Amino acid sequence: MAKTKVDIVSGFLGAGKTTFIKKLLEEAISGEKTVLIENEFGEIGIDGGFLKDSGVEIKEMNSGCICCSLVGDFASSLKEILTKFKPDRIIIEPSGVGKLSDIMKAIANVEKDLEVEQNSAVTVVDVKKCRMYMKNFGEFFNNQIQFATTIVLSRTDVATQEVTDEAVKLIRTVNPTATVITTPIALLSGKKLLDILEKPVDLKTELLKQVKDEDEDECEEDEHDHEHHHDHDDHDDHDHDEDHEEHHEEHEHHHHHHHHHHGEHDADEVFTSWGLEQVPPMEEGKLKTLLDRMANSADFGTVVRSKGMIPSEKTGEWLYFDLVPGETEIRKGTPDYTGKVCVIGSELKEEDLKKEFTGKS
Amino acid sequence: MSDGYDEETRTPVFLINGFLEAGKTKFLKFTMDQEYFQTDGKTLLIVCEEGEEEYDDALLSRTRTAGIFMENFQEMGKEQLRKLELEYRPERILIEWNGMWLQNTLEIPDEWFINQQITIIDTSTLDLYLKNMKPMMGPMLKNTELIICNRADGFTEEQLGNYHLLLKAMAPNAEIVFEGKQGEIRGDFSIDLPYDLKSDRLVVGPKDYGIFYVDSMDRTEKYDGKTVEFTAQVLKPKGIPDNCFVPGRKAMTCCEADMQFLGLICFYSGASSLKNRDWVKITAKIKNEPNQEYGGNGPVLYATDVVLTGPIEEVVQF
Repeated sequence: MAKTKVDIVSGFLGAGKTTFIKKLLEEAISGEKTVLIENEFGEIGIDGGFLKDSGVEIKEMNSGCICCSLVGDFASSLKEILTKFKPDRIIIEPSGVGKLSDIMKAIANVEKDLEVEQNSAVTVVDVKKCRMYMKNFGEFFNNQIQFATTIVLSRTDVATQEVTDEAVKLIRTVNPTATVITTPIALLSGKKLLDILEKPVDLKTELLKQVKDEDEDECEEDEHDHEHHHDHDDHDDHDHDEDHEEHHEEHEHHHHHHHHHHGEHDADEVFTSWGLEQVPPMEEGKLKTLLDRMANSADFGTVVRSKGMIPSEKTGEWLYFDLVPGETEIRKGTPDYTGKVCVIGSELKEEDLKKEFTGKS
Repeated sequence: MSDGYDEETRTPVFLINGFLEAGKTKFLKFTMDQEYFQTDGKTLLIVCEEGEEEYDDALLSRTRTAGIFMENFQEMGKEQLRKLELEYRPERILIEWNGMWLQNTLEIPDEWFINQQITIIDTSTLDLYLKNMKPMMGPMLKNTELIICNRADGFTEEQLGNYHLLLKAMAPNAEIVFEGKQGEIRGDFSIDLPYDLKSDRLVVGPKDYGIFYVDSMDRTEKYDGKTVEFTAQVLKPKGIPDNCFVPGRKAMTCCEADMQFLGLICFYSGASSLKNRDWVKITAKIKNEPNQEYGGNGPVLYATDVVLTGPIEEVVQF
């Protein structure tokens, strides 16, 4: 039997936890047998309406108390729920002033005895209040950020890019690695949301893998299909050939590299990579011009690969792009959690890239 | 006082508390600029929370106020505060407390005394805080003398009445004021009582004791001369006169860790035969009288009938 996944959704009062959980329940995991443990009483009653027939069990923990420690009770409630309902998933909404690490510890303790595993730890933060809460709330607020695997910034749709940038910067001082969702969650599909929680995509890793895979293709023709896959299957044959020629140079780099590392494929050390998150919206024409410069000139150094997803000027429309030397492609798609760009190459002019993608120096 | 400080020589502290964004700074800034609040001496302003609203230098200098900003709770120790006293020698002290620091953890130097404690509440978020943050609200409100609930526009009298009761249960000594854009909102904030206050005989059910207790303490005049019937537990504190006992119930006003006994003074000729923790059904006449235990007027009961009965297991909740 698969283990029960446990997701924690924390955040201060009014941050938007309930909205997030509703989205998750309604759009992402509606087919799963889920138990929701609430330790807080929100503004939007989650038990009203749609949940009634959905098969989601709702458990209320006794009082959102800080002074009466709940960790002991919590572990026993969790055990009881697991035995009684055998759910696919448990979502925990702890008290808004609870320490995320305490809840995680309690789950880790239960993991030893029962078929349960910690999945994600999400913290919802009101983007406009981030600075103020961090300054005045101290420990519990920082704890929620520090231990989160994903941070959802709420109300980014009514905040300026500057406010969002500042909030992300502050969050990064406490937690440099969590996935930070800056796209308003209403724009994200439930599936996307779940993907972000379960297996966040790392553009850099993906790009390096592409380069590596192509390198392998060079040696083993068998894996030709592989390359197609990573190149999104949509190049025509002519392009394809060009692609190969262009790659030749990279491969020389690579081969050179091989001598030192005895066959290890570690593109990371050959090329430098540059990445940016919270990329502000960009109009398609402007992006096309920029990508063409990156692909066809040395203005930004030698760009070997680039990939990204950026919101366009139109709400809800995103531009996904791929770039290899001499060729760029832009596709329209659904929103991702934050605007992202990753560039791999050598002697990259990072400052200039940043200037172009953020629209400021 | 035995430590050699009395109110003549000690420095008064005005303590303002409430959650972040309740409007504490706005309230303090407004007050500092009022004519009635002016003084010749120096004022020390200790700010433990920094929200959106800020104190400007012009205000501080024209009110001869020194502003000290505390980054964290560790800076608010008794010794650190005494150092501030020695450094500034203020005539009075204003403290803007941090809503996330438990109020009962504040220790002030012996040279100071709390002159007044005021709590500022944003009525528009009160519901959320009452549902989730009572453990913090208990200490915040316990000794508060005035609660100002701002942003109270758009609430019905009934809703405000309900808030009034819940706050009163945690802040027994406080006057509660609701404010809207046009200033104070006046009205009858008595909630729908579970018994008929027009009747001469009030029957208070087991679930309604909390409301009866808070409302009769709050508006004793409305209860004067009425007969009441309720079930309660007997408490006989040491030194209580033979003809007197305290019937009451255990109540959870904020959380399990902070249970309180809500009891009323009751005279009864047969009181000496009652033991601590007995459960009794009481019929008594209520008089609005001064009593030392109430520190002023309050509902003093004169029992005509007291019979032993079984316990009520549930604690009183609000």
